[in-house]
Amino acid sequence: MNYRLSKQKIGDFLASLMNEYEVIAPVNDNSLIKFKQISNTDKIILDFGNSRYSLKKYFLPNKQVLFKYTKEDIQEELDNKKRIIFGIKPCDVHALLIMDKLLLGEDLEDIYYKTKRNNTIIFALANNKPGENEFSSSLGTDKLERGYDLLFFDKGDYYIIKSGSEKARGFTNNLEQTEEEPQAELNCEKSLSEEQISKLKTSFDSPVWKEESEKCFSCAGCTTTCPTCGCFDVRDDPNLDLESGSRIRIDASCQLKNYTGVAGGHVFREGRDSRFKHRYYHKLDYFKDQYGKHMCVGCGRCITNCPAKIDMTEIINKL
Amino acid sequence: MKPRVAIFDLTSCDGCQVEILNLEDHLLDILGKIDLVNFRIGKEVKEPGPYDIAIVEGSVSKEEEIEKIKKIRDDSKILIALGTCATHGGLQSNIHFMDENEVKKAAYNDKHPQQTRDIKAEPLSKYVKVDYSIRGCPIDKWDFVKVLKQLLIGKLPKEDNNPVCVECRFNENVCQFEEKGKCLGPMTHGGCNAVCPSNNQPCDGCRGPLEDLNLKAGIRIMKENGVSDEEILKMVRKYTGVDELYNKIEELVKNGNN
Repeated sequence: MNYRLSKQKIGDFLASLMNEYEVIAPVNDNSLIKFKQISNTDKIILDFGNSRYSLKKYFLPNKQVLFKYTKEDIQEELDNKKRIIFGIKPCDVHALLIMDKLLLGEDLEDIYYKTKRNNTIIFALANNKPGENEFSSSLGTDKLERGYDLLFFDKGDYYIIKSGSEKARGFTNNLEQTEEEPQAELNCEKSLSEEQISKLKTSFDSPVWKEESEKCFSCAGCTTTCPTCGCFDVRDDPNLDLESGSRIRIDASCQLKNYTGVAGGHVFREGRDSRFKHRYYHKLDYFKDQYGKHMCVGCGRCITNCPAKIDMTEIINKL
Repeated sequence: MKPRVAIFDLTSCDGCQVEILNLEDHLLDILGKIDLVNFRIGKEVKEPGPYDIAIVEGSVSKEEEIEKIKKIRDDSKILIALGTCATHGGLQSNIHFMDENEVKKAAYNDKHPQQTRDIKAEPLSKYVKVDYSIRGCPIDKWDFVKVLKQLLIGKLPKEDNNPVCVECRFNENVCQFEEKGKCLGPMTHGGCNAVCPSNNQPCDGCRGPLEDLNLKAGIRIMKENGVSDEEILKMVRKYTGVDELYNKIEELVKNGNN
């Protein structure tokens, strides 16, 4: 059983949830599509490719206080805010499922991530329009089997909504039921096939890495905007009394030289080429060997946000 | 005992020291932790050295300032360069790339050109050992607090060495390379919370080049975007042109098409 909601009523539908939830939705901010908390549903953008920046800030913020400490005590800072994210695209839901593998593992659970994840309701929007530089259709991450609470299909004047979780029940009570089975088809211009990706297995010493890395700034534009890059650094920020303070974690990036720096001053990936190469191998080779699927979901943000316009799909093609 | 801290200035606009005064609500907390024995724009009584920590704003731009900075160094356990003038020479270091007489004429007019024994503006490190640099024109006042806290717990602070782009992405900005075709953000030390790109201005590099910078890539992209050779040179030299990482900039800009 699916549900049907007129497009005109989507604003009222989301507004009715604002008492209980912080509602996050795509808006136009300074000519970029971004996910932001909204108070006015008129501002929501319903027809868009994808947001310029990823949604990981709602799950793994780029700067986050883990706990506050005094000489006697520590106080954990858990974010219990209840959120609904409307408009999250399938590739970004896949990204969350990948982050879950890393941060909600059986033997290692990140309580900060888990709290945010459990408190966030996912209203996904099925794909009919690719994001700039998106290539998810070739990776199979353009469609969703799971990972959503509600999945909205844009049918022009109305949405067909699929329910995907127990939690979703509370949201569909007042919606009209329908037998209509929706489908969404996404055609991305860019693609990355398994055959192309498999070339990585024999290309570790390829001259392409050195050549292409010469265009790279190592600015971390790719990793900071990637929905599955979750590396962080942890540090203490003392207060001026020098006795109390906060422990914070902050985004780190394998593209930056200091990332592989260790005590004594040695840097493991000193060369720009080895840092550059590492990202391709982690996203498209190592992770699959370990977890059975690619870490890259093909959202294309690393291409869009690269000041040097380095294109992941082109680099793989050059191997 | 509280550490003896002295704040000095050489040739500069005092803006970085004003940033320290701008800490307003936190100044009393800071003064509870240090003995501030010298601070020209904030304190009348000045005490002689030795000092535990000396913080120096400004470039060395007059002969007498060479002696002054050497004396401060001799008097101090730790010497901190405060702001771009101190770390890189600042705006006045443009004289390295201009006609000296023209600059003097513009600055002093014809009437009293001989009042100062001026030399070309240089960073403190040209003359003395600097233990740590607080970057920026002006500094970020919270950077100052962060450094002070680290020093007070007995550590020499460590820099992130991240480009401006990192915080620029945190702030979800429009990339200035796309918007204006030029930006020094990918090549410049961050820590400023990307204040210029966050206000829709390209980074003009006031915090100095990163050791890991890719100058060739920067020049190539700006040229492709139609930025002229002169403009690229002007941007790079605006604040920190004397940094040795920019030594080959002229050559690279002229031959930057390969």
